[in-house]
Amino acid sequence: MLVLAALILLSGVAVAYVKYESRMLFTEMEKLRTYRDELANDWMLLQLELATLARHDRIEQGATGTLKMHMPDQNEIQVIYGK
Amino acid sequence: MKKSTREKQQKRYLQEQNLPLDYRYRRWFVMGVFGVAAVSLVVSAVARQVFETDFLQKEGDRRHVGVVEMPAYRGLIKDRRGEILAVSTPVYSVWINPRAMPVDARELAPLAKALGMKLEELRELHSRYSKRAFVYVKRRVDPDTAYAVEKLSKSDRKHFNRFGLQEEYRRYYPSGEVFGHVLGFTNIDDQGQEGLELVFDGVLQGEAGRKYVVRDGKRRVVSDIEQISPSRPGKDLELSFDARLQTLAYRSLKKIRARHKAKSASAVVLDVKTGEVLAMVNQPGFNPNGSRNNRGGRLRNRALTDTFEPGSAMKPFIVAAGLEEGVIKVNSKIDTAPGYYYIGRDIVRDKKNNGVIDLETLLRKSSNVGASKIAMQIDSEDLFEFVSGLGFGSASTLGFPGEASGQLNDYQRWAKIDQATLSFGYGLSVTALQLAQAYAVLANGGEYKSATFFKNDDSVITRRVMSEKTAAAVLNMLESVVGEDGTAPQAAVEGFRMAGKTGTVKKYSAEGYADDRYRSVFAGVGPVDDPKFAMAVVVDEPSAGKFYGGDVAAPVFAEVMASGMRLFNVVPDALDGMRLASGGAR
Repeated sequence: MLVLAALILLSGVAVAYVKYESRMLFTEMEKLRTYRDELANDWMLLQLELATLARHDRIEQGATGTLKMHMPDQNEIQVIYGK
Repeated sequence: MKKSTREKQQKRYLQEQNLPLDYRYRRWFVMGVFGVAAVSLVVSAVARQVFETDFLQKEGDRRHVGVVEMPAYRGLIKDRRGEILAVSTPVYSVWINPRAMPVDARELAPLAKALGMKLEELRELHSRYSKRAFVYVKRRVDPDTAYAVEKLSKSDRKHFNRFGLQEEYRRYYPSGEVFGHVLGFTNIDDQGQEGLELVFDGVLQGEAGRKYVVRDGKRRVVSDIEQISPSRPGKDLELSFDARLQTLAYRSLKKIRARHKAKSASAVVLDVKTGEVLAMVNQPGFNPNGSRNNRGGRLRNRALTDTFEPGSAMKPFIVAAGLEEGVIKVNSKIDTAPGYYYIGRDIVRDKKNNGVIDLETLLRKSSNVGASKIAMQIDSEDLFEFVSGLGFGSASTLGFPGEASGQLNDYQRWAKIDQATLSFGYGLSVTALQLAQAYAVLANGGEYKSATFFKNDDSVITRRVMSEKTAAAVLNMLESVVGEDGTAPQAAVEGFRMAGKTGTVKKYSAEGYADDRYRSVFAGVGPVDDPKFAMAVVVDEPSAGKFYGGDVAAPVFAEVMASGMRLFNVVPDALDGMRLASGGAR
């Protein structure tokens, strides 16, 4: 009888402890999750920036304007066959 | 004795003071009250602890424990090379609580300044919603403004809950109007409304998770307790499109529509071997980042939603059907003299009398009489089976919202003349995608591949429509259309053998076929040696003078194909004009 009572008491304490532990871990996880979300947000913004900077017309402008490049004409192309 | 004397003295005293002799009843009364109080205490304690505990626990939790959503990201949309076409980024909206915020200029001025608003404006907003506890001041502010407001709100800690930022997600489309019709867009809550955003909303959206949190008296979240369900981020979509080709196709189409003052235009590019859609563009377009009004149907993905009669672009398939059904041979000659042909009371005409011509000339000169004569020899059921086998008359497997299936009447309802008009592309209607798909069959050795928006899609349906021999023969004939004396020399691409067919279609309206309103069509494939692309171009009502398919639609084909060959590193198969590097190339 006494043993059972002791066991019950013990398991009660264990439940409380585990619950406490899980909450602590969850809080920790939430913190990390928030951090991850922040990083993900940054990443998305960077992706957006990349996509904006690498817009095709912008690149074309740079190529034809600043760098004075042009599409090779037919007589400027040489075809080389590999073996 | 002493005692009794004392009692008597007391009694006397009480009598003198005119007070009741005995406290008994008063005592009973007080005891009774205490007793009732004690019993009711016990009863209510038992009631709360045992009978009402659930209810009370819930009420307590309701005041302190809250459920908070953990938002899930909407997936990205990328092209075949991983270039980003749609991305959700966090944006902030600024709100105030007018009930907690004084109308004092001293308090409002810093916020107005951070927001770049006039003080009067903010004050006006405040007074308009003075009874509310939550009002957006500005939605989706730029990051700098958000930062300024956040700083301000931190310095305002002692008055919590007066104003602040709310995080929201906004979808951005870096490619703008180029992919507008294909991707569609999302609404303010980031839910798909149009296009692929709508079709794959379930995949992209993900699932918001939920968690329990503890709040204080001001509803602030103090700590997290437990997770109810995890959040599942949306999946990314990797499309079959090539953003570079799409951009070039869009630009080319836009230019041509402006030059020919056309009402609208569409173009589709397919990979003939896989059925992948590499580009799909329409004019007029819209920018999914900006205003989304549907004026002039600019939100419509016309390449899928609008149907038209393909006109002469249909003829190659009639020749193919004739070859397949054995009514003609590759070297057959057809007498088209005298340039018209009676079918019952109806008459089919050519522009001029072409005399006796072979099949290649038939396609090159686009002879209606020739095509009709072939079609009339084919059994109507066989012809119907062949044409529907190419994908005409039934919607594609893309499942795009508003997609049209086109019209191909059942052969049992055909009158004789219907079979003839079908041969030069009237009396049936198709979408630009269906036309491109049908040409892809010619280019893919006679095998039909259902179109797909995804890279390496293994759900693509494959079926044989015609023999490899027939497909190759028709393809070779179509090469002459692009040649010097064909109808579309402007569709030629230097260094490559291209094949295709023009169509110049009179538009049908309530008064019948109009003589002054046309649709210019060009559909083709290339390179002929080992086909890679199939493309269809439709320009609706060019009204700047030119209207032939070869003049209006073919240049778009050539431009886009040339870019495609370069972008996909297709080996040139017509090197006559090119210099070959000799032994010691410099």
